Amino acid sequence: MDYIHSVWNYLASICNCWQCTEDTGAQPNEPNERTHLLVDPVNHSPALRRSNSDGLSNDYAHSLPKKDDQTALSRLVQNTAINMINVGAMDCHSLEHQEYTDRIRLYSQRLHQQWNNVQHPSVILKGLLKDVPSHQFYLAKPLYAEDTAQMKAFIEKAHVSVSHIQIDHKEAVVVPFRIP
Amino acid sequence: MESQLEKVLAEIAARQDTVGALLANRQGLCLGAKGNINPSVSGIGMAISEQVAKLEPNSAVPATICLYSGNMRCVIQKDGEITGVIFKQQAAAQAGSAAN
Repeated sequence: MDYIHSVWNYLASICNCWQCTEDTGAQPNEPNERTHLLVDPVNHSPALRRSNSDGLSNDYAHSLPKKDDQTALSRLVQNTAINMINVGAMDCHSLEHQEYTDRIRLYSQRLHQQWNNVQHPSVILKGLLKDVPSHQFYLAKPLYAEDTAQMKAFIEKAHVSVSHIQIDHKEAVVVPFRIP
Repeated sequence: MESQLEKVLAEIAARQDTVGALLANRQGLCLGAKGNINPSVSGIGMAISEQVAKLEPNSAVPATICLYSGNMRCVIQKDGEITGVIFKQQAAAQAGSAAN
């Protein structure tokens, strides 16, 4: 029973949350940080309205030989119109400079508020050798001068010897093919 | 062909306390190995040296890495195109003093 109760509470909280986001979005006159930049672009597209009125298929009915081709073509046009967003045809709300700066200030203020509300996990310094048992033992290991000297000599000689590597071929490297 | 490289490897591997020596190219492929060292270590050695080189990107001197494990140690250095890996062993007398 407790389980069902908790599930119900959870659903109720989700609904509340959804409701509140809808409420903030439901005020078209007051633009806030949740306002859409493009307001329902599909309905503002003039091409879609035109294709909906079926004017295109009637205009060119006589010139199209087959009905199947015609419906396929009109479907193509309609699909293109649906996918098109005509930005120019929409009523542009150009922001004044003052309004623009006001919005910047408002949004950054809201961001700060949200940021302060978040419970930040405390920053814990993680050491590289934290999970190594008795790291003092490893840190106290000496660096032998003979090791570095040996490595230096090794690398120097290796550079010289690697540069001397060359292929001494015993047969002809280029083999002629019998091309007629 | 690579006789000079073989000679260098043999000379380095024959030094005191040295178990084996290996040389890797830019891709981490083994150019040559001498002594008790697995040639497939070349790739890992090259990768370790590349990571360590990122600690001091502006350093002109190539970094030398020393890894300790038990009484063995592994010395790695990458200079330009090539990477050298040397396995060394603690001498018996030194190992005894370290245990005390």
